[in-house]
Amino acid sequence: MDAALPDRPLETTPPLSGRMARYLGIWALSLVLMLTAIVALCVAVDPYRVFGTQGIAGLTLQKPAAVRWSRLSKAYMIQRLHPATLILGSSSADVGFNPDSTAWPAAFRPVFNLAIDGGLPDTSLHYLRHALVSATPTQVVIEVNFIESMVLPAGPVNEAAHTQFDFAPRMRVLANGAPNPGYGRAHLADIVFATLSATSLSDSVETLLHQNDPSEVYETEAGWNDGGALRRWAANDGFYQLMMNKDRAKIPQYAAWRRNKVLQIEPVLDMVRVARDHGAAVTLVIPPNYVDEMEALRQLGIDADYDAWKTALVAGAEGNAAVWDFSGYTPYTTEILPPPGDVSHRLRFVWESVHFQSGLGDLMIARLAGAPALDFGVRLTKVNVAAQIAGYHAAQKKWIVAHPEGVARVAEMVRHVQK
Amino acid sequence: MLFNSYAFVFAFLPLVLAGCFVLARVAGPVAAQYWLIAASLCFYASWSLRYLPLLVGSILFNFLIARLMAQTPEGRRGSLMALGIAVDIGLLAYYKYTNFFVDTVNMVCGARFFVSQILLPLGISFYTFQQITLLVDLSGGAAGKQRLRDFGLFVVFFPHLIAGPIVHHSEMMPQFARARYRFEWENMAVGATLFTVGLFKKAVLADGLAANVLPIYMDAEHGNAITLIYAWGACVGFALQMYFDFSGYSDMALGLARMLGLKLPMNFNSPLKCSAIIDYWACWHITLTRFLTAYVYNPMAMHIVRWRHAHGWRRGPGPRGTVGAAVGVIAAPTMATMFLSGLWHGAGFTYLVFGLLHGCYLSINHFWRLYRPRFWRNEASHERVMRPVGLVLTFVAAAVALTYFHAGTVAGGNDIVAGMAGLHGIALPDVIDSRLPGLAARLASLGIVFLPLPLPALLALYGWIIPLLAIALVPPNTLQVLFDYAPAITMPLPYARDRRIQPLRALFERFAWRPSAGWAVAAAALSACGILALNQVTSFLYWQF
Repeated sequence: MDAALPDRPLETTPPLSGRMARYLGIWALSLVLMLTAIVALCVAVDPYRVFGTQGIAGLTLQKPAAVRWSRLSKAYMIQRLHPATLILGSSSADVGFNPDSTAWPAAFRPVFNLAIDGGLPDTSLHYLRHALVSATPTQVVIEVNFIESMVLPAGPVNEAAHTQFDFAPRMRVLANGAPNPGYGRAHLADIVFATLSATSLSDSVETLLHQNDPSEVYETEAGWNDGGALRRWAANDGFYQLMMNKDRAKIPQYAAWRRNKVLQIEPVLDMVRVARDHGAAVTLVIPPNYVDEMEALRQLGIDADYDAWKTALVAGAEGNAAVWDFSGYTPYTTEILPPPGDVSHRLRFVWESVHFQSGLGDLMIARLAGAPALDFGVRLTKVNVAAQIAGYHAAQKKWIVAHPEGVARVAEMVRHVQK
Repeated sequence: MLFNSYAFVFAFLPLVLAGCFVLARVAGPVAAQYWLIAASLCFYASWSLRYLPLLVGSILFNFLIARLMAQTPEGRRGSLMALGIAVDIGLLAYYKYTNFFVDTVNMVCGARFFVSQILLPLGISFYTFQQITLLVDLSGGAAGKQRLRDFGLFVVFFPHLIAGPIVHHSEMMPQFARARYRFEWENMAVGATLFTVGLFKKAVLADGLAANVLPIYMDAEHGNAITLIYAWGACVGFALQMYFDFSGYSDMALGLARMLGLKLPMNFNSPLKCSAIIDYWACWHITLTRFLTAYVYNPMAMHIVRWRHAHGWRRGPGPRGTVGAAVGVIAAPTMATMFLSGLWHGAGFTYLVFGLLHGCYLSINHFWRLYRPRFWRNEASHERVMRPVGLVLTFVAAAVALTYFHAGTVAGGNDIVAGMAGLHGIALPDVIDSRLPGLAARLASLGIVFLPLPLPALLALYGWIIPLLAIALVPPNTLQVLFDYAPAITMPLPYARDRRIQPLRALFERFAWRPSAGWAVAAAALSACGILALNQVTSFLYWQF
């Protein structure tokens, strides 16, 4: 296979040297031009909103890639904006609370949604500290979920899928609030990533090609994930499938948690404290989960833990934050699920057992802003929490009797997990 | 510091090149040589400062042994050589195999010996082999007295320090002595082109495919049954990933050396175009094959032949020989050599399976070449049939062995291989069932089931495999494209004279690099792609051996 060659000297003759020099010159010039064009495109399109380039309607305004890189994009967006209200939490708040909703009272605006998809309270706390370096919100709304306070035997819930993006170096402060000495380097790495990477180039092209696409999911300039992915899945597979997928993902986590039953609400209370120290009024929001979630807790025998979590949260936040409870058996959480394969009928208020739709989010915002008592949304205090929990269980009993098919559906999944 | 990192491309490399050229001009080639040694040690220290003393100590020890051997009459160098090799192998065994040995003893005997995890020093397998070759050749009189700076640069020269090619002293020492280490336009143009092609192969092609292959291997490790289409995708995908990753690294190493006015040996020659596993090993990781053949297989086979002769067994392997001779003289040393090859690649049962599978393949191939003429005499028909059939067989056999190489456990490898054999059935993403009910019904009647699997992932996997397979099989390889400028010490046959199966041969016969504007723009495009991929730094597959 090999052809041994005479070992000729590697020095080159002048004419060849000239051609080689010209070759290298053209190469260098072409490379510089190509890279300059790529950098210019990425900065102009700004697919992750890292640079804050003004978007052009129909061309670059909507950012589908920013949803995938929301931990990156939100870290930079919050440094440029000065919201009066900051929303924190996980994907429920990310999808459910639209900062541009007309339901927000004037005093609350402008609003920025800093909720992080898949983020645990620790993550939100870190983002809050980062935000407060430059922002001075007067209101902080924190969505808190039972499952996100759980510490699973193998580590915290949810975070695994997102650990591939190490957000911590991008924060202006460390987790303990001290200045982050590595911020400058991480910032430089982000600039290089956002301008000179295959990912940013393809995301820039995607941004240009996918404006106003109803099947696409976008992150708005105020940080809201418009729920396009959930909308698309629901349209393609139906709400039943969407619900089952989420239930199958969540129920094993609840089942695993029963092995140690460790709850951690300190990061939530730390968020309250940090926000208060910066002069903001804080509201904790327990979101309206679909009935499957509540029924799974009951069947797994951990609904008493759920009650205890709620009670502890109220006790911990008393005097520093208002705790609003939107959970429970309400018309919004007990809609009848369309049958399997039905893609024409849709749920009006939730996407599945965890994520609520922004329409329901608007009702919640209105309630938080002092709208007259609707049929859901209660401000919990040490005084009324026990009564509210009792009311919850009374409604639960009624629902169980009235909906044996719902009970059976959840029971089937719980059995499957326990096997 | 990886070759495919910003730090290497934009800081280390320009600095090393500039320092070398300036020193060579101002203070002469010896100063440049010391600069390269210092730069190579910095390169190594950026990875593993902790093991830098081990590398330096190993070099000094082997240099001392080599110096003593050079001062000793030829016939009496054996004990010095044995001492040197024992220490080299001892260090390699300690760092690479202690944990594996203890774990195996615990597993087999149910014992509970405990040894804390020993971190493998980077490149130890490569620099150990290179120093052993020198000691062996000194012992036999095939090498002479060495200068410390030549010896040091021979071992630590950063382009090959971490993952080869495994260089031989006879091809490097004369270059070090003769090189001027000056800036030369041709060296820079050829070297930079090679480096760029290698970067593109690694950072764009291999890493692009890897993202789609890895999840299937992880599934197998978690005990999930891998069904037919996914198993074949994982197996073929990893074989291609490995080829583009390692040959890309080798191209980069050759290119780096060439920029400095030095040449390294060829390490890959389109191995996936081979129609026999013997040819495959002559084209895949060529410098390892060369080492194993010269320093393991040949001495072992010679020893067996002499032993057989001494015991009156004079008939050899060959068509008129005996099967016993074939087993003793060919199969036994082949199996032993490939067993050691597997062990060299890694301390784990998966690597042993990889080595032993190749031992079996090579033995079968040798037997076929020996005995096939007895029952298939027509060479022309054999060529006509076996070249395409052999190409497929060789590729599949090599890919199966690489499946074990990549799998975390033998069970994980078995899972994928069983899937390839159809033992886990055939499954497709259920979205096909919902979107194309007619087609799905027909497929279901063939036993294909529909599961909640992501269709985009499957399309992406085969969307990478098909073009990469075409690149590996159709065009000339990097060294053939640059043939006129001899970028390596040994070169493949020119594309036009390469008799292996080459689809679209006519299209590529005149496909040769030249310093033209068109090639410069193409090289710029490849380097732009490579630079864009630098932010997703992934280590080379051969980095930890």
